[in-house]
Amino acid sequence: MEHKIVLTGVTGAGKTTAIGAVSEIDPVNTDVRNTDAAVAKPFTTVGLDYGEIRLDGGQRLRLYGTPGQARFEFMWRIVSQGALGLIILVDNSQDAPMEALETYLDGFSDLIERTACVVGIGRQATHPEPGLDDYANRLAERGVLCPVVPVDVRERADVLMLLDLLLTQLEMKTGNIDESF
Amino acid sequence: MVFKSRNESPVASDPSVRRYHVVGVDTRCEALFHSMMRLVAGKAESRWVHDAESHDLIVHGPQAGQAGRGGALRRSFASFVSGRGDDCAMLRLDGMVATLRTVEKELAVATPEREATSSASTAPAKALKLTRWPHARLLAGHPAFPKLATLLLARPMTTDELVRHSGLDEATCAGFLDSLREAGVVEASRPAASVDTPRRGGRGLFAMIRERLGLGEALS
Repeated sequence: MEHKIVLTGVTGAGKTTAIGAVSEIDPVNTDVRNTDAAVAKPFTTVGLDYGEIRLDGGQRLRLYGTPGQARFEFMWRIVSQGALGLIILVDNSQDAPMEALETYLDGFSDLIERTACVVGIGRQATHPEPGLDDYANRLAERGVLCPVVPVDVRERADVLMLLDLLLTQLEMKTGNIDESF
Repeated sequence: MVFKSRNESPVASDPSVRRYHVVGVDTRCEALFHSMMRLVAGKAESRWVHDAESHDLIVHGPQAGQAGRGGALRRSFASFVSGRGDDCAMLRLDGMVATLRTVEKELAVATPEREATSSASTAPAKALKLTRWPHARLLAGHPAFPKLATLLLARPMTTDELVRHSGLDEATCAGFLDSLREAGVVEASRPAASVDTPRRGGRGLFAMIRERLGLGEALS
């Protein structure tokens, strides 16, 4: 049986890195050389990132990282089908990160409403604005209830924290609680 | 001594909750005082929560007039400070606990009938649910607070339920709930019926994922 969690966020937010931090296989990605001058990275994801965690009985948890650009919204809908939940990565060092968050809240609204969501704010140490409270305020204004936490996706512990907060919501909502943390 | 009825509040049914307010103290010292009061959780007899509207105790600084509810006990800010004057840098947990215990005794003597009624209360504990994600400053108080907030975000919980699901001690959970109340980011709600007892050691999907990722151990 297959299960999946979706990671999304702007190009450069660290979806590929986050998946690589926890995947038990070498992450599969479809990075190609970046030709977008607005994005300061040599490669960017034009398809999907993919990693997986093997579970008992041949089951697998698949981790999908979506392409960041809004023009790939059609893929967001496809990859959302049947997903357990969503992790949104925001890069605070890029222009208009709040607007970027809004883009993903809109693009994944069905998945968020149906399952659970966690928002991870990256590069806060060097770019403290907008602050976590600003993001929480915006989510509250939109009626979205989900955790907003700082994250460094290079740190496996931070990525695990995102997954932990997502699982916690799912456990509480479904009653499938196995143990305390 | 006359006390305002507190039945309208989510904490009103909890006989162990006392309320305080700070007046006439500069902003920095007041913020520090509130932080220290959260740390008092589990060390004083009562749980102390800040409430500017209705309170058992007014802590007043040198700039204070006679502000505050008429029936509340008054103590100077200096009486909580281990040292001379009103220097809030001299606030110490032990000194605050000692002063609070004295205050608690006075309050108990002043309202014996209320205490008796409260301790015999059979009102069911009220569950609280987050209405929005809490402020970062509040969550920075303990490494497990984001997880506690997430639990409360997903479903309403009483203090006991939060203790059970988090594995953290009651004082930490109760103190966190008090902080959320103060911040106005929780609302009273009926306890959720669908989730009762954690199924420890189960082999559900989430347990498998947690085990594989090495999650599931206490954060505290």
